[in-house]
Amino acid sequence: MSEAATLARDTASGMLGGVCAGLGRRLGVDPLLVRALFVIASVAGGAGVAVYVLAWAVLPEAPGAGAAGRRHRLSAADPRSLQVAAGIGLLVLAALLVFRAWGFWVGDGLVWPVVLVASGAALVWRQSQGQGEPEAVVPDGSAGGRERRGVGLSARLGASARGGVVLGALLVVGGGLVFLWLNDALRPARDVLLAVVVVVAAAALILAPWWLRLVRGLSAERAERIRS
Amino acid sequence: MRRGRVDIVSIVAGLAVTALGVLLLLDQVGVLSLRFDYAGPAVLATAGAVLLVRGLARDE
Repeated sequence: MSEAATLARDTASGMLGGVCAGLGRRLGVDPLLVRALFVIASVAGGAGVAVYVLAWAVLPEAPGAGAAGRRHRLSAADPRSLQVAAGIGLLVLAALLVFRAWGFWVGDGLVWPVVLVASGAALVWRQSQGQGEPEAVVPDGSAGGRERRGVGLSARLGASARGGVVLGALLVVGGGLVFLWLNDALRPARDVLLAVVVVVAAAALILAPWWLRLVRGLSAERAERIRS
Repeated sequence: MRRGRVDIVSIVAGLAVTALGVLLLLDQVGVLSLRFDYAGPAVLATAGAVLLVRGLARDE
């Protein structure tokens, strides 16, 4: 399959995330036209922003994006990626608040949970896309410095990627729960949950002495085995 | 500071903060009435634009 036939982000010639450039290349049209459509869709209801963020999270980077684009690609461990994410988040939040003030709004019970779920899903998708990267790209002059930073960052990348996935999953679950709560769909589940909590607490109170005795017995047995 | 080098981060940050300052000044002199519904997003958008440009700025 040719490069032009593949739908991917063109970060080398893109202005932000390469979504419009990649779409333009795939469709064979000027990326400026795609950007204009995204701006119009963003102004008229905010759908363009949501679609762009989703496409940025889902679409892979084009293999022919070029060394220039790859050299400046931000890794998950780069502090600048946090700045970019925070900047996009603040701009999207500002746009949503303006649309809310203008009245182009479908309701708090839908928009804020969707924002939470989309943020979490984007985070999880970004982390899952970045896990296969062999190294974090850091501009550094010295070979020794590059080696040291590469090792440190790859070690940190694992922990930060796991943290990102956990945070994203929490955001997705939290968004779903907020949606259910705001739409009053949790009321039937609340009674069931309360009953489950009471039963679990009662079982824990009843079984706790036996469990404690079992744990102490195992500890004593292990200590005895170590001594012998 | 090297001469002839354009620092895009400083330019965007300066323009964004200046635009925000003009909005607040116009509100103070009574030319426009800035409500929190619009002032809040303006502040958020200013901070977001500065953060985004800082994050996307390439190292020289």
